[in-house]
Amino acid sequence: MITFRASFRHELLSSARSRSPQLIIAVFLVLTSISSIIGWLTVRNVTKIYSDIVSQGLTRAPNPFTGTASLYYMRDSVIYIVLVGSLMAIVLGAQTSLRDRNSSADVLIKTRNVSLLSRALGQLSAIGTIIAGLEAVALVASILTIWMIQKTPLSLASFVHLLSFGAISGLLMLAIASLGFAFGLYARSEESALLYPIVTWAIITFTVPQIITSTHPVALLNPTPAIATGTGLAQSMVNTFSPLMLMEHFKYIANSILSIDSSLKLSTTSIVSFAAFVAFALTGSISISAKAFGRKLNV
Amino acid sequence: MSNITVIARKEIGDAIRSRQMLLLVTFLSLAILISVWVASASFGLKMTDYNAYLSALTPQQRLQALTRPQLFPLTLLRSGIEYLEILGALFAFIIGFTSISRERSRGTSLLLLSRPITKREIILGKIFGLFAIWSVILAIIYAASVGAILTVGHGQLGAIDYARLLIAFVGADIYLLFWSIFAIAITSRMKQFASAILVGITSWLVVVLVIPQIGDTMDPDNQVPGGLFASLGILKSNEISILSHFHTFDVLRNGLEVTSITKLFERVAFAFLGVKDKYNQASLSTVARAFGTSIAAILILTILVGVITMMISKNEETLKRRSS
Repeated sequence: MITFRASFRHELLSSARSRSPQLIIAVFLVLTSISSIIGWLTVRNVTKIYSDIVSQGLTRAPNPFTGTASLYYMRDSVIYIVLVGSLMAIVLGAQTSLRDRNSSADVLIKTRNVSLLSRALGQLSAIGTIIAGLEAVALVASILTIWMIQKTPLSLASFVHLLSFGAISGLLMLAIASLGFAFGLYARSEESALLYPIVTWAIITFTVPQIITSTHPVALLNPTPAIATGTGLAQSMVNTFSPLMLMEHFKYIANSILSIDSSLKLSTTSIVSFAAFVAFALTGSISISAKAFGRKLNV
Repeated sequence: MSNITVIARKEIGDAIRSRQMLLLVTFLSLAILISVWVASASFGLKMTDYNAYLSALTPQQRLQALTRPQLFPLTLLRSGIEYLEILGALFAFIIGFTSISRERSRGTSLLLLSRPITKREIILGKIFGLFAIWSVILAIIYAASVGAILTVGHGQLGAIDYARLLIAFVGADIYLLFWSIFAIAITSRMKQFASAILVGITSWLVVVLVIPQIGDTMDPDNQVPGGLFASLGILKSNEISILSHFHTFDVLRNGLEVTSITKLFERVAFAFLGVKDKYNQASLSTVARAFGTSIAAILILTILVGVITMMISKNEETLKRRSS
């Protein structure tokens, strides 16, 4: 317990002092905070266009935005978690283990009677606390923005949905941060500790969903999940590989929580794949960290 | 042989021996091959649906049937170009970064600077070397793309298609060189390698992913599945006249998009390859005239980042620290 607490406090303190991840943290906070404003501007513009079309008598179709949920404005936050949040998590995780290796603190720790498991748990808990703090700031900004846009505060139900979205996003980022942490412990150099997880992230975010759903890579920047249109792959192959479309599963879950697109149904595959990834990433990185702790850097 | 040529040749030699480089080229080529296969399979399914639709019609109904889907082989490369603009830029950054970090961590940059060679020559040599490396990589990917279209995509290419593809790949060469030069600039100047990676990755994230994503979000037609105007049953001619009432918003959206070199490259490449319907089968001169400003902007941005890198070379600290 002492090791856990000491590692937790030390990690929080070191992260607060570290200047390297500040830029990406700033980008994350700015984007997640302004996503509601971007969403609102777009909805307002579309509604104006719709009114113009109706006034010219060109359509009788209903306004596509009538009855949209108040959390619809936050739809872009989903993609910012996938893009910026994930990369920020990799950086935070990798920096934590690299800091020990750079300062050779790992050599010193190995000479003491310290539980490496408790230490890793303490460090990961600290990263989790930082991520939760950043997510909380982003959510508060969103709540205030939506309040200003709608001129009425969020309902209790919407508030709960928003918190659930924050929790799911936090879990995704923590799982990715723990992978960054493991890469940071295992990689031979500081560069590869950052680059390998980033390339892996790019493959999971763009290549795997494209193969399975036939969606163009740029279309995957859409906050709503890609829908399979047929790629010629056998269904058994699709079923085997679809759990790897982690970011698309996250989008499905987030869509369902924020009620962005009611036509999209949340499947058990999405929930199970997401949960399995989080469990695998956390347990895997903790077990690796105990084994890989103390590896020399740049040899 | 000038100092610049020696450095450039050494850069190419390092790249040939690099496992990392081989991995990146293989990955990019495979990604493009897969994307052509996926697009071709999608088209195959569309044709199957169309044939099933035709067989369900009576001979009389067939006279008024929907037109047969047409395959424009170069459009099969849409995802391939998107891979170049997203992952290619990331890899270009990594290659540029490694080119400098290798010299600094091994201490060879200090050794080089003890010889009669200037920092400016070292950086210029590296830029020329990287340009040659990217040209060779893209030539390989060009051949892989043509092979993929002809074999996996079952498409046929005419001389004009080869020319269109060549123009798109020359554009890609300049675009990727931009990212490699940018990596050289920040890696030669920044104290810590990790900081250089973070600044680079954050810039890549904003320019390649975030700005185009915000631009797409602000496009009203992207707000409804299948398109806003199509879902409301609006004809193309009416759509243009309606959008003209919302000119300011569109100018803002477009203004944001053109701040990203990625979006500029995408527009140019898509226009030449005919991915953009409006320019499909348009003559090369028509496309060149329509996208002259975008082409000039890509060139200017690349030259600008090159000039800034040269200016950085004047700084006392540049390339001097061994490692951190």
